[in-house]
Amino acid sequence: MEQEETMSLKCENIVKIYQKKEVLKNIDLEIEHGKIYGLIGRNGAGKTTLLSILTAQNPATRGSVTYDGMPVWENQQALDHLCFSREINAVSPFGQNTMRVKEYLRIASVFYPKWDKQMAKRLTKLFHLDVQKRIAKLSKGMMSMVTVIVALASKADITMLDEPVAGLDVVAREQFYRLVVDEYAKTGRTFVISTHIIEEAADVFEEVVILKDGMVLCKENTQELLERSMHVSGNAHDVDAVCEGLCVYHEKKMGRSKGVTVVLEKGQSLPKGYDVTVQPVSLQDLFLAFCGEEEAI
Amino acid sequence: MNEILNQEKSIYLQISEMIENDILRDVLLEEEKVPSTNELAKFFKINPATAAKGINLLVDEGILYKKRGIGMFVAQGAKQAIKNKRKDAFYENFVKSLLTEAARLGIGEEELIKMIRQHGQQES
Amino acid sequence: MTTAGLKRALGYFVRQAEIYVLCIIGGSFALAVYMQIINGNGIAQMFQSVPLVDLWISGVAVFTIDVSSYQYCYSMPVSFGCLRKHAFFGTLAMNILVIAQGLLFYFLSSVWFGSKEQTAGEKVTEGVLILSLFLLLESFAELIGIVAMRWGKIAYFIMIGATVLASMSFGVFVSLSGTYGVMGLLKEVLGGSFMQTARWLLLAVAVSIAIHAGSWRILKNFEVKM
Repeated sequence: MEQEETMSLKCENIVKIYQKKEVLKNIDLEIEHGKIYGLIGRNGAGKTTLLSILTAQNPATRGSVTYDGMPVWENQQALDHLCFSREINAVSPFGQNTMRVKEYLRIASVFYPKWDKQMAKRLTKLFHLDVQKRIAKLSKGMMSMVTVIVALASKADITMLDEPVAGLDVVAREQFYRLVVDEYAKTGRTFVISTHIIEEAADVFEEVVILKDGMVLCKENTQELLERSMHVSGNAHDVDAVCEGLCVYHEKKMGRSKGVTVVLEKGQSLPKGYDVTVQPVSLQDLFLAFCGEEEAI
Repeated sequence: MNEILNQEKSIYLQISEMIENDILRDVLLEEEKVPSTNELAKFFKINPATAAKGINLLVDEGILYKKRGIGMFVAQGAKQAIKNKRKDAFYENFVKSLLTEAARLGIGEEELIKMIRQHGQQES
Repeated sequence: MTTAGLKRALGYFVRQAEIYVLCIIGGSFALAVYMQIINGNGIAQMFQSVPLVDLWISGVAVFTIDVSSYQYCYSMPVSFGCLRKHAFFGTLAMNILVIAQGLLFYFLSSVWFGSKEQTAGEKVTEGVLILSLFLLLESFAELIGIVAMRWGKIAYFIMIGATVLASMSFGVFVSLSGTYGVMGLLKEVLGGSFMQTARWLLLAVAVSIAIHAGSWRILKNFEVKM
């Protein structure tokens, strides 16, 4: 366990261009060992592409990805520590995916050197998954479950999950978070989870990476980020006075009142003495403030 | 311990307050073992590091102490320590906002004291 | 370290190959018996057409495997952390095993069930010519598979058309063989002299190498898209 602590997955200056369009623009990121990361961003922000490139399943147009200093591309030594469990499609370019779940899991067990068969069995039972079913016949929820089983049973040091809870109902989602937290508590494995359903997962993420338009908007300890963010509201004059010189997002006006999301930099604080309401913001609120679009009205 | 987490305050603060409340209510007695960070994390579906931060806060304040290899325990005199701590913070946490709101509504000092005397008697 | 990954990959691909081979052998028997029942021949000649049916089924199998290998031979293994070069090498090994065993079964079954008398030389020539044909078939299928993967939907339809064409050609080949005998047919079409045989083999090998080299160039930067 000790040597693992220095091994991190680093990407430098990653650029990905698809047909003249820059999907990822100069991404520098370090995924440290022993944390649960949340990767949030809108559809098309580049989350799946980034995760794919980090695990050498997609070649970057420019830039490098290294694990513990070794390049990840076509490097079995590095790849043995990584896992990217992605959404499986029911239909592939060549017709229905007629493979049975059992076979899919078997192939996964062949290629992941640390595969835990017992865990896969236990999770299959827990999710009431029929392994004899063909992938094409699975519901979206069941496909998500297969993705989760592969991710957890792979026992990889750094495991990425792309939208693992899409298609899962709220009960199954709760199960998922419990499983990840439990596995993390037991083994200290690193998880990088991309998701749309931010608020439920926010408490699980030690660090959050926000991706916007192919760039990393921020990467920070979730707690610290939320502690320096707040919602200030009240009379528009007062709000403007309080927020002078501070980073302000997502202004909302109604009549004479105004509400803004403020993110303080180090050393900054809100001036006192104004009659404004200051409230904490949730990660979801913050995400909307950063990445939401202004209403047309 | 079965309170629900909300987003009003940092999660780790809520965790430590929850444990304090349990100590005050005698749900957790002195010298008794407190749930581990992993148990808390799993129970509330939060990151273990967050749960640890909440627990460590109480350790720093002397309310909990660590027994190596076994876990965290409620310290002797923890209940009193919590009461003292909260008493010190009582003004900041409760009275200040009361005074601000009273000022906003034009409720004078005399009226406030009258209110406290009247209803204070009813409550007890 | 690299060898462990290669071993894993080969384990996967060899297992796949053997499953295909079993299907080919089983299918050959089943189809041969079925054909005999339809033609109303006696029980004594039940397995007579096994060798030819085997050739046909092997051909179709090799073709189909190669054309649709994108999903099961590259996408899936690479998505599980397999190196692209191992997946490529593994697929190659799988194809070679299927071809080799398909041919081996052809020869064994012609000895057991066939009624041909051939000299050693004729046997060798036949073998080499059939091998060359299979190599060309495999290369052709590989070409279509890569084109379909790279250029998508339109190529998909070309692939379907090509499959139909290939099956029909092989079907024609088999029925003509029935009349002339495989050797006779090969002699007619390809010429039976040593030089001609050697040339065919060289051509097949050259085409195979060329197409696979081109295929690797494209697969080197293969992007997993499940």
